[in-house]
Amino acid sequence: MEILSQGMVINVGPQHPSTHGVLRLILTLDGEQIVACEPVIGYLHRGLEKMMERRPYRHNIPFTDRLDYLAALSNNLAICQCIERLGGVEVPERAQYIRVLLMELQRIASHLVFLGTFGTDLGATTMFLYAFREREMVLDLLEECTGARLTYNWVRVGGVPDDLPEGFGEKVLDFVKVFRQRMDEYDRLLTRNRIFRSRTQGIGVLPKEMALAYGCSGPMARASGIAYDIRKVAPYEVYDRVEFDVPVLEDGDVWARYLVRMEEMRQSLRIIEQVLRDMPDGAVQTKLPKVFKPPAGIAYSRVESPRGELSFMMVSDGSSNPVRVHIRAPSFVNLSVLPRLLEGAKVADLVAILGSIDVVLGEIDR
Amino acid sequence: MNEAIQELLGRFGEAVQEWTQVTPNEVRFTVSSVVWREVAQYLRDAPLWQMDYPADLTVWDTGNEFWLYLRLWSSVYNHNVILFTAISREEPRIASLATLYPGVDWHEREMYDMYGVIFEGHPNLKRILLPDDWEGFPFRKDYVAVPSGDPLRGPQPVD
Amino acid sequence: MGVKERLEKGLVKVPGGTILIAKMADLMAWARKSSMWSLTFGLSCCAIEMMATAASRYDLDRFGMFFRATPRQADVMIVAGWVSVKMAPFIKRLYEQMPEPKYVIAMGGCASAGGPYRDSITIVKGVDQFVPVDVYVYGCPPRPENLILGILKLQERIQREHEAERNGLPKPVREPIIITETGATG
Repeated sequence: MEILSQGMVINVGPQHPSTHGVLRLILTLDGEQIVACEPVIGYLHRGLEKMMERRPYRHNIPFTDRLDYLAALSNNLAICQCIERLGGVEVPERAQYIRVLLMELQRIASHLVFLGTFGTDLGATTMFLYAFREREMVLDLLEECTGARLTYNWVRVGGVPDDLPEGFGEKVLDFVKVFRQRMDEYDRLLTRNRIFRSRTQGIGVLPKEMALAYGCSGPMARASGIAYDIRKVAPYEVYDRVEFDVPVLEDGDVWARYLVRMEEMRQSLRIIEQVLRDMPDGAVQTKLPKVFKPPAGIAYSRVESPRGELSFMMVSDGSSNPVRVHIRAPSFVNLSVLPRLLEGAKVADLVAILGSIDVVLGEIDR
Repeated sequence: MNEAIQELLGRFGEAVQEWTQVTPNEVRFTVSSVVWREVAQYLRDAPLWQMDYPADLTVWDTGNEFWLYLRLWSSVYNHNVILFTAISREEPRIASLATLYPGVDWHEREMYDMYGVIFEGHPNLKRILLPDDWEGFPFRKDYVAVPSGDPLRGPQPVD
Repeated sequence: MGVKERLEKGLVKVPGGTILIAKMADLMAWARKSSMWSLTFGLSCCAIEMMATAASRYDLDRFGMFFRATPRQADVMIVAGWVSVKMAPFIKRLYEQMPEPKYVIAMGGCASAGGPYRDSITIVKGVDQFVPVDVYVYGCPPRPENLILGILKLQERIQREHEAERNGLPKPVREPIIITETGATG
């Protein structure tokens, strides 16, 4: 005799303790297994791309802080690089070194938020407190340099607005020394934790071909065996002059993504030390005319934000406002693979899988 | 790269309206909208191209027509291709690439949401970012809306 | 002085023991203001600063405040982030699901008045368009210290309301408290 049953439909969000922002998931369940998942986004949509068309190029830089608000400097860098390519603007060498230094500090801050929230999702709330304690140290450094804790707006077309403050290098090196010890603490807390491993190993496996076909980038792709890091593949600023490794793992599960991000933080420390050692003196910004009209054309820029490939595309018709600004957000593309990842997964693993993608709804919805 | 470009031009001939090699590993093609899907499939499957990673797809409005932009990357050769094509504003229809590259699925939905471009063959073409009952396509250059007075409802388009 | 007169001034400690006597209203006021449970309502960037305020350095737990995911157990809703037209009905419904007495803190420029998105067609210009707001904490995002000041001012308001209730006076008018970026209070 056949038992007729309907899949149960469960709504997760938009207000939910662990949806990492305002994300709604409509799940169809068969008992404990997820049969289908439909993500609903757009709860934070502002129409930024359209708003940017009404403003001169450089007035749009503060908006980009609010896209991926956990890594605001990467967004600033991406839009400034795009405008620089449109207008053919050169960036002085010292400014490039400063940009790389700030990007790597930002990467550490962003991965710390991932660690904290990922631990909280799995129930390890202590990780949240540890991660934010270290993050406060990074934010202190960035606040001393840029003046803000979250929305820095500290990259300009042609460089950075101002030089580093006095004694900044020593403070950063002190932080690097302390942070290396703290990372060993995180390893003792999470990486060697049997419960953590059993909740993350073998869960949410993303095969390499699927990751490529969906356009996944960043730690999601690198955990699935794709050696795609824009800092190595298409180096920008001074990334071709510093030595660092890019962690690439083959398993593609939640555990691999966690390990990739942990290792990336260690590599960021290496980059920071080299940048501080090699930074030359010089100007920090190329001055632009008051009214900036790049020649007509189309340009794009791509940077390795902590979430993946962040790319800005701009269309110019020679006037002072852009015709079109398009933001290719890594979280937007990474999230589109979630329904495939959840097919056949258990409901209890949903939070771990979603947390490992590390989405920021600000850049998904724009 | 040069060999690959010559092979593509030989295959598609007149349909490639314009092309430039911007850097040693980036080339941009402007193609006619009729061969949009064919060119994308060729670029994915041809052994000299193997563009397996869809980076970006978007649309912009010049006032006269809609232009599409598709950026692809190859993880095998590390080269980039950008495809452009133009479609009419009055009847914005083009073949969907969602079954070729699953990564452009959501990009095409967003372009339908913002510009009203119909991607033929898309498995699930409905609004993604704006509320489902939104009227009009906000990113078009001729979109005009007035506040509706109700804070829970957005501005309504003026016809 | 009798016990009743002394109670008017506050707590009465019974000599020799470990017993305190207080009026019910005073105890309720103290409990309500010192144990405000907030609804996890972080929408965007301000949510990160709210999380940082609740985390190790600017500990919110010492004020008795921690986050509950369900509106049925929350006293205060901190709206942190911009409110879009798609999200607004959910905010309204969540506010209605919170039991009385309930308070709303609008954190950040976006929740207070729409923030930098003045010409966005999908952003509601302030959450006070559809829920009553008690405290506006300006900033983009506001510093954790400002958010804590907003919470302390809200605690003072709860105390004042109960004192008025206890003395039989009419409830004070719920004018919004504004915390500006420099920490000045309006």
